[in-house]
Amino acid sequence: MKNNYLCKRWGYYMSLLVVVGSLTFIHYSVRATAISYWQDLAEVQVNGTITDEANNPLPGVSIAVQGTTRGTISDADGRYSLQVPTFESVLVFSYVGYKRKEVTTGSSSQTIDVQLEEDTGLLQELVVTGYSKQKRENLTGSVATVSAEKLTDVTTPNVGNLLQGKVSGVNVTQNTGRPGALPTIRIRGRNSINSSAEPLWVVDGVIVAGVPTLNPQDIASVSVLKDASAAALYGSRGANGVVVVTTKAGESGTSTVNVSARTGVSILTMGNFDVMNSNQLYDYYQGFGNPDAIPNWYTNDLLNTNTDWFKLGTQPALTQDYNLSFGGGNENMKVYMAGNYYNEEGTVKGYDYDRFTGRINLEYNVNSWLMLKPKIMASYTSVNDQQHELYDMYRNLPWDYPFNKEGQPINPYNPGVNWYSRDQNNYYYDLQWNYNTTSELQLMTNLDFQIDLTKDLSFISTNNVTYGNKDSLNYQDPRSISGEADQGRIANGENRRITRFTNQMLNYQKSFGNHQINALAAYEFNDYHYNNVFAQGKGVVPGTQVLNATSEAVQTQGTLNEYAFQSVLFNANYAFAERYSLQFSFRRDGASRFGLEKQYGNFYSIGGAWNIHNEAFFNASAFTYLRLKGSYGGLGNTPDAYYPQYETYRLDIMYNGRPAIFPNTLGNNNLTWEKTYETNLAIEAGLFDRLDIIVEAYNKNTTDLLHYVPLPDVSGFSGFWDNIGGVKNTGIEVSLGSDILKTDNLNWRLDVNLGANRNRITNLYEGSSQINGNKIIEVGENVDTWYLQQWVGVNPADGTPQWNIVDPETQEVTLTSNYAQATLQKVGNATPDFYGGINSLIQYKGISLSANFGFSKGAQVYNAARETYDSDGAYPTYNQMNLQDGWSRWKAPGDQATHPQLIYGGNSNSHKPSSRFLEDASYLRLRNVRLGYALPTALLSQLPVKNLDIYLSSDNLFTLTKFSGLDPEAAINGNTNTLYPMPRRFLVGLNFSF
Amino acid sequence: MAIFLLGIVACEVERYPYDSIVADKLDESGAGIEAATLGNYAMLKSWTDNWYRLVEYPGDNVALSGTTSDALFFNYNYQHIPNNYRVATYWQNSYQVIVGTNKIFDTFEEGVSEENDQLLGENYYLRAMTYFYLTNIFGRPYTQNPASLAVPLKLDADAKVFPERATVEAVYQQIEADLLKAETLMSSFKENVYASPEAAQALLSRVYLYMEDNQQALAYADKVLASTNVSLLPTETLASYPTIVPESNDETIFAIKFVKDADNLEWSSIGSMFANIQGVGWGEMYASQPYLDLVRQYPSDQRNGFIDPVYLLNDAGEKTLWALYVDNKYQYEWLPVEGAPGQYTYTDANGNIQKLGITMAADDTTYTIKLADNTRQEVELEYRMADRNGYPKYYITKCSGRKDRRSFGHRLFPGWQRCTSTVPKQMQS
Repeated sequence: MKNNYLCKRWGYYMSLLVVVGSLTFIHYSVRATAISYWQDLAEVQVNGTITDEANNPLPGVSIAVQGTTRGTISDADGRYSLQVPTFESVLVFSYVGYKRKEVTTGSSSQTIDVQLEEDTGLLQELVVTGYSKQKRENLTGSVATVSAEKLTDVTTPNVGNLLQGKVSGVNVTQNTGRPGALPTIRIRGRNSINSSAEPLWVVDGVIVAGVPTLNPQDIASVSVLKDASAAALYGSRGANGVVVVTTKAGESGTSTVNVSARTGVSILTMGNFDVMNSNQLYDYYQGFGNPDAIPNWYTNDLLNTNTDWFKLGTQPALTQDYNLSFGGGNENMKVYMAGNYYNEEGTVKGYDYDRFTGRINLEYNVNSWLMLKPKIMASYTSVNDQQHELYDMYRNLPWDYPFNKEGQPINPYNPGVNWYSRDQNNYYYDLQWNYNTTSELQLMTNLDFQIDLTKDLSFISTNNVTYGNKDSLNYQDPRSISGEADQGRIANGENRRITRFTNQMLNYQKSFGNHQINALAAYEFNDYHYNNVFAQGKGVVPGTQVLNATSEAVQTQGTLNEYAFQSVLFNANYAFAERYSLQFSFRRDGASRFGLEKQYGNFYSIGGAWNIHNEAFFNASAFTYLRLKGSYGGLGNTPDAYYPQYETYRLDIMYNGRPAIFPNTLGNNNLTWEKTYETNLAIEAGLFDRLDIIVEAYNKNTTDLLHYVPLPDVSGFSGFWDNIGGVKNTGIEVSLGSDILKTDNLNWRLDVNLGANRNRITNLYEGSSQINGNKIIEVGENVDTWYLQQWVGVNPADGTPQWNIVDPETQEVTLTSNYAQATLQKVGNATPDFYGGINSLIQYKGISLSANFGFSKGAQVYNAARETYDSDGAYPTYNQMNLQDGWSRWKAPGDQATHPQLIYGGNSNSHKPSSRFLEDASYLRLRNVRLGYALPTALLSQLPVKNLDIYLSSDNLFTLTKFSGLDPEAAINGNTNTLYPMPRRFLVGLNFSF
Repeated sequence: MAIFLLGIVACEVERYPYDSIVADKLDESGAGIEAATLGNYAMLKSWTDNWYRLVEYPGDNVALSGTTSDALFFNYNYQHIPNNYRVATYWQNSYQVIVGTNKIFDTFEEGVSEENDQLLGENYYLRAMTYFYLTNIFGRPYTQNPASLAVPLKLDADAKVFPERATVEAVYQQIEADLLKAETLMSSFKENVYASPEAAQALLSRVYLYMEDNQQALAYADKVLASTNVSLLPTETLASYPTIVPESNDETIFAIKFVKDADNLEWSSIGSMFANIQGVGWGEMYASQPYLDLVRQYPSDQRNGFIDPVYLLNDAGEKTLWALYVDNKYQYEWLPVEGAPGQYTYTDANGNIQKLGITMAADDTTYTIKLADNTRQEVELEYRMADRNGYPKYYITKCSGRKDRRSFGHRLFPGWQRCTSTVPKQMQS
């Protein structure tokens, strides 16, 4: 450890030295060129001071004489002086972030003071690109941003959810309606088969492990780095895209306290999924073609019980979200401080998610060259989980009732209890006592500072330690069924995660004349340490919570994992005359997950952009702006396994209480990065000052795919990690934004984004294909290709299921009712044709109405739940789903039906996986709609507040889909079984500041 | 730039695993043949799970109360499906153990020390045993056609070598050779939870029996019986066989041991399918009627002790009688029976009280009732029982250790997996 530390420091000083040296060189050579500009003879002297709107002097403003190569730059006090020809010259004043200004000189020497206006137009917007900020005008890569205002519509504790439907090419799916659950995010499709497809998260310059815990209201902006040019600076970790989060900072000269509160009610939604009630199930049983097989308990008496398990187990649940923040400061000090409390009850009873977050962001100008930027974030999340069993709510029969006459829960295992549902589980019984709790503390501390070495060159140091601790407790009461045998059991786990991140960066920024240079070089180190301890004890006195109170230890476990990255990186942007931009970036990464042979990898990108609208020849007045950009670069991905390079023997086994070892992985010392080479082309246009269009096309070629190559079992191993094969993703993304109405009182902004991605495996290990669950991995096919028995419907003659047999030689197709004989075939894939979002905002005076829709078209999903709930009698003692519109049941010979005859015990394995259960999961979902009212200024002036607005909001109001399961969105992500559907939520909220 | 990069390359980002040990560092750690051999035993623990389900469920001794969503259903009902994970896992576990033993043969030489040879012998035994069950499950019986294909004979530890299926004969020859070698290499009987010369001899006896070399089968059985390390349990203790820890059970020649609490199987134990004991276990598969008929033929049959019917009590806390039979739809039917022995009555389909028919024979008494169609149906006189899906709960506790685990162990996780299926006691694994 110590060695490593020294080594790190040494590396850091070395890099610092070299970078300082090279940048100083650049600095002076550039200055030398600049000097030559004004060596021409001139007749008139012009001088003056350049200020901003607040009359502060603006240094570094470039002043050019139009039509000549002459120019200068304002000094530290905003002063300039320049020789110009006596005839009327046009001086052009330009500065990053400000509108250009042109002034015509007179015939004699004069003073021209200029005030520059801040440019707030789209192209002038500063975009956070990870290690730096850039004007959108100069961007060469694909970076999408979501501002704070757009981030806080949906009520959720997770940032990921807030990106849903707001960024083209970013597919966010929420898998469960359980409070606090994280969504899945895919940026521009899936590059990888076996290794992670999760994007990298960066918070205030710090690469975090996994998904960060953040209060959404602390976020100033989110940038999504989609292409190689944008993400290449994250090298080996950027292949799945990067989500860059910047938290809020105080503003100088203000002090604002902001209070926001919202609360609401969530209600479980079941989509098109509908399980049977007592009568429906009774009739279903009547349909069995083999009534002799039905057990004797099937009688009219069953109809006396009609339990709606969902009604019993769900509730209108309360959500509360309160936020208090302060932002402000003066010239030397800026403060942002905020506290948040978030609480959400589950719509499924018995689950309570509770979170406190706090943050302090400071910026302190110690003197003219040193700025300290410490940040602290803390969150404490606790979950009480005594949740009702969803699994049983779906499966239990309406003929079972969980309580006896006295209202006490029944134990189905008690002799004499008639319990018909097959799993014999009445969860109410154990829920009388048993529970889980988790609590998680997260601390993120940044000790960041910036030293301005010269006017143009600064040293930026980012240093972070993130600490996470999670404590889990599982309590099983001695009276409960699960705790009975042990006389109660307590399980306690402690998990700890520490990540360290440090980045030492030199940043050079220079504008002169028509030239703008922005360069950075940095050294970075990042490591991860996770360990846990888990212990169980049995024999407890009811009500205790700690292991000490157990009478006998049962099990102790503990593990530890680590990884480390070390990198150097370099990036340069050059812009000329606001017309052309060029970018180059390079990163060299070393990672602990690879063997010594291949520990380091290089990643780079180049990019360029052309602002056509700034060309003299371009005169189409319809265009507010028109840009072309393109980029190419390489990115990497690391395997999920921590130590895939090593041949190892496992130590976590024993025999007869004695330690044992067993070979478990083969190792691969030549294992290296999965590489993605991406080309991105984009056109951006603004039309009639109303319409913004961005069209992007990309081609991502992933090679050296990190793949867990399966071995035949006779090898004694399941497989090994290797770099094999490739995947190609191509896609197009369109963003349209329009100010449809723009009047004094009425405004309507509509944004539509659309992404389409095609995915194909280009190369695989020795060309072989691999069956992976219900999917196949094969060259030329989509990564998510379904490989199933092909369903060909019900035989009208006898109501049996039918599948295809394809003769491997002749390709001749025959039908069979024998499932085991049916041929596995490629029957579609799970990739949507396109997906995206629609965002609309209508404002009339103080009233606003916003809506956020998400949609996806054409994904084929395997509805695994139907194996159980649409089983044609295979699971007669699980509750079954009602037939959807358009479905029909075979009853008599000649029936053309979608569903086979009901047979008690199952009809020839009709419920086993086949293309029968593949469904189209296209959907359109209204994620959020919100009606707000902001108090008019006239009224506000009489109140001690700066602004006040109230709103009504609803999440997940409706979903249009034909999918027969609970949630098409979760299904696309592969989650179709007993999932927790997304609730519908109604909220009322209030914001005010003073 | 080049210098810039050089400055960095010297730094270390190496990290090593903690749950496992890197092969290169194995020697430094001191973990040798003993730990590696124990590793093979350890892997056999998970192997037992599917091995048992594959050999027992297709038999007639058990009856499943309805259907189950687990793939074991297809082992039970003969509807073989190509992607049965239980079969696949059994196959995979078997070859893991085989390669685990091969690795030891590649690494450690014979004749270095007595302890080493003993351990090598144990590994030869484990490999032979694994191949023996593999070939019996995936190949034809030896005597049917020794030239037919059985399973691949993997005899090295090279992960890139994938042998083709070998003949039944070749596999048997290998098993025989391994066992003979094991018998010579091993010199002591440590405990019956490790392989021993007796274990090798017992398995040899079985192998020869399957090869119909009865002379040799007899000879090796005699060797085992002559050993002082093992002996048959007295008859009266036999029913409590499952409740005795392996090391205290003289009849067990070789067992794969599960340590109480540390090897926590609970719901995934093989006994969990047979009973729900103190809230743990699926309890979905019961003793079948043919099996019950067989063991009940002689009340003194100690195997009756392995069956634990779940009786229901009336309000007075007493057991009540049933006339139980299987009807022509293969469903269990039952009627309450009242009265004293010899004067049993029941209520027929028309609501009339009838006397239970009795036929006394020398060794058995049979009872009959009259059905609605006036035919007579033989019935079993049984106490009223709990049922699942119309199947009376004849819990099998043979695989579950004690019925009351509070006295000692622990429900379905009895201290070790204990089930022999069709394998005789001597083969207890």
